[in-house]
Amino acid sequence: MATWTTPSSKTWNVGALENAVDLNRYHRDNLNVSLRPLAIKPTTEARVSDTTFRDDQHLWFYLNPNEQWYVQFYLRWNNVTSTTPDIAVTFTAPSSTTFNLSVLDPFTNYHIIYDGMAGVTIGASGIDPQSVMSVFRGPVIAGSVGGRFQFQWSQSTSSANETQVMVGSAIFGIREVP
Amino acid sequence: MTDWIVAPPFVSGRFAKATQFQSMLNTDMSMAMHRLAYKTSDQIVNNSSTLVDITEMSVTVPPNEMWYMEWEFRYSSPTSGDTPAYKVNIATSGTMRGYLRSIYWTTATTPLFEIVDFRGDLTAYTTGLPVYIIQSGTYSPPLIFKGLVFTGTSGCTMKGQFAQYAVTAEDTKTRQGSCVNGMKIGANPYPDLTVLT
Repeated sequence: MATWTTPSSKTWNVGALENAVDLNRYHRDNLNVSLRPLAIKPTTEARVSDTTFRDDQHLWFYLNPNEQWYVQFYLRWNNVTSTTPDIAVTFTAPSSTTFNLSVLDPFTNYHIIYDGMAGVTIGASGIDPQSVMSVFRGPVIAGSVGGRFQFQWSQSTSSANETQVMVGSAIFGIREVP
Repeated sequence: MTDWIVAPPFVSGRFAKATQFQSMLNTDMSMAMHRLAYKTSDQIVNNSSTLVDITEMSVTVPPNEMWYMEWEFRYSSPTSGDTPAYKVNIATSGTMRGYLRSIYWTTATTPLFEIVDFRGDLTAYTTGLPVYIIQSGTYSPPLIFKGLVFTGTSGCTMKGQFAQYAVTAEDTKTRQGSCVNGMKIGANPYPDLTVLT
């Protein structure tokens, strides 16, 4: 990975034709190196009495083979009324993918590390969270197989009260290695 | 630095307008968080407390600029517990000043906010910031420094470094996926910076 250098200033001219040199220097591979939204949740999704991991309807992005991403995932979640609030989360990915996402548990202040497919419960302290923001961050590294990097979730303890993943949850990322 | 304005939309089939490119993309992506450095492979230190440069974790900042940066170190060690097994440092050369904040662990279980004040050569942490390993054998929580960096007339180079804090004949690793992201905010607003070396 080459060290980032700020290019000299450029004035764009009306009607000028762009070329690869300009795009790569000033727009950096068509903005692939910038932090940008990969998935944004347009509506709130709810689960009731359900402890089975299922795909989130919106929170996923596509990994091409051999790409390496740095991801920031802002998960806004809520257990509306339960006094045993929790959400169990996991991720699925193409078979050759490795990833290492960390999130700070909102109640224990411990970091939880996801480096595999096992699900982990966050927020299982018995405190009633009203709209918690959990932030996952870290690398997602594809192998020779492409496919979806998919967020899955469920209730950890089955409850007749809704656990929600809320509108506005979003995955942002930088494609570090094309 | 001007306030953010909403740029006009693109129109299919129309030649690009200079004002559109300038306002939406700027000339150097200064308005967007972007990759500054990224580590593509693990790096090992074994039985050594001597700081070494972390390959690929280097950022050169041009003169007279102000940046927001996030340095994210991901690491692992076979040893966990109350003895720090990892130390990290950001070495600098050139004229610069910066304020980076991180969370690290004062014991194996207690996080602490720490403000690291850079003054050109990072004198407070030339021996490395000790970091407790929370989980052995796998990744530990990332060590993330966030903050502002200002450069003087000569610019500067920042390099990530690491070592073992407690020497042990085991592999301590800075992991693939460690990275530096940031964006240029504008010109350095502190004209007296060059006196700080």
